[in-house]
Amino acid sequence: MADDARALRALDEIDICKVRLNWAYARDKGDWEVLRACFHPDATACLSWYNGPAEGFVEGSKRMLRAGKDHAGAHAFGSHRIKLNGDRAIMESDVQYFLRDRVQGLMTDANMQMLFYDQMERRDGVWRIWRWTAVYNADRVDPVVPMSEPPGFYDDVEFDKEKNGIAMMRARGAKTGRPMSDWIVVAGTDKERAARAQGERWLNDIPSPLEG
Amino acid sequence: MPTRLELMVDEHEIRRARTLWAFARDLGEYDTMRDCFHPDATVAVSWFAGPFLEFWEATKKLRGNLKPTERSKHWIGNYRCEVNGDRAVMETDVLLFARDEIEGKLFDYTAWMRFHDRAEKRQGVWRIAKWVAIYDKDRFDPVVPGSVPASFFAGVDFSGGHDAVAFMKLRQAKLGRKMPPNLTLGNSKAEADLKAEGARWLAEPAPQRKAS
Repeated sequence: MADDARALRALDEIDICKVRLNWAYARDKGDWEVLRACFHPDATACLSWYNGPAEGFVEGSKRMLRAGKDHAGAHAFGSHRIKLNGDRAIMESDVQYFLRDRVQGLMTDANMQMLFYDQMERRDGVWRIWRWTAVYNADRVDPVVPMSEPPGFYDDVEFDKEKNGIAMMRARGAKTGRPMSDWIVVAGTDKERAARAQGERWLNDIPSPLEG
Repeated sequence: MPTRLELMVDEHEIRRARTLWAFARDLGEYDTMRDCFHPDATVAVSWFAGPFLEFWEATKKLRGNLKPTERSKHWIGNYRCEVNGDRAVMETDVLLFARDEIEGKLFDYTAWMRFHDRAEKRQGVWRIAKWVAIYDKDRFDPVVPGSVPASFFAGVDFSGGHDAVAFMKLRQAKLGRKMPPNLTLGNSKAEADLKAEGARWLAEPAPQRKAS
């Protein structure tokens, strides 16, 4: 009996992880129906360039891929941890986003190190994402050809406390006319702590099956 | 549980202990971190060799001294795991991404490592009993390209068989930390000995080990 519980937990964790991995391939390669199916209809997404219903994230991703932006962008997933409580789960994943694009004529490789904080729910036997918060940990922008950056290219990079997790992204956004939004959750800030506290409350706020 | 399922669940749980450690370590969740190890576990890493509980206390101190610009991420990659009853040996690919502030400059330190873990199931729970980090190679890049004069790297030493931790040595020296002697470097006799010892330990017919 105890062993069955261990096996069921492992299977749940594998199912939950699968949602995020499917998400990554679908997002990077433009498999929009698969991407949509990773989310519940009432899901929300909060990330660098978008904050709102997940449906809007899917539409925005479509537009970006069509416009040829992010053509060489890929999400690499590391490990994850999962907290389970019945039909609810919190999954945290290590993610790196690799983006090759041109900034003011210079070919650059941007690298964003993030943690995806996912609140997942099982409805009708299927796990999907209900709330997704991307937490930005650290980033880099390197010229593809070493030392090819023009003088002063990095002069506007700011590493103050609230912004240093997205310092390079901010500078890049300013150069490409895409300023950073103030909703972005940066690692180690009050915003991250608030997102986590909200997630923990949600995870434990489940009526007992006896009251059902 | 059928044997294949049992083995899958065992491997899943051993893997879970290692990934949980990584998230807890980087986020400063010390109780979770301690729970991944048996109380009598031992540790051998670049900055510490000894009992796990001392390592745990030292980690708290180390993390408490982080500057607001500094962060760490232990990126847990793929693994292989051999289970024999209530013992297991697991080898995991790990990338350490550390952002350091040294002499007023920001650096991204990257270490390519493998963790050699010996795990034991006691009272039905898998935890790590012995952990040795094996070092393959490392890098130390300024966050802002070109922001650090070449002289900063003048002390980097690729001689004496310690080339795998050349930048770790530079960084620890500049941070005023001591490194234990006899680190296990990739492809060394020390690695071969460690693995041979691990295999013997795994195969040991211990009378107290229950055939479950």
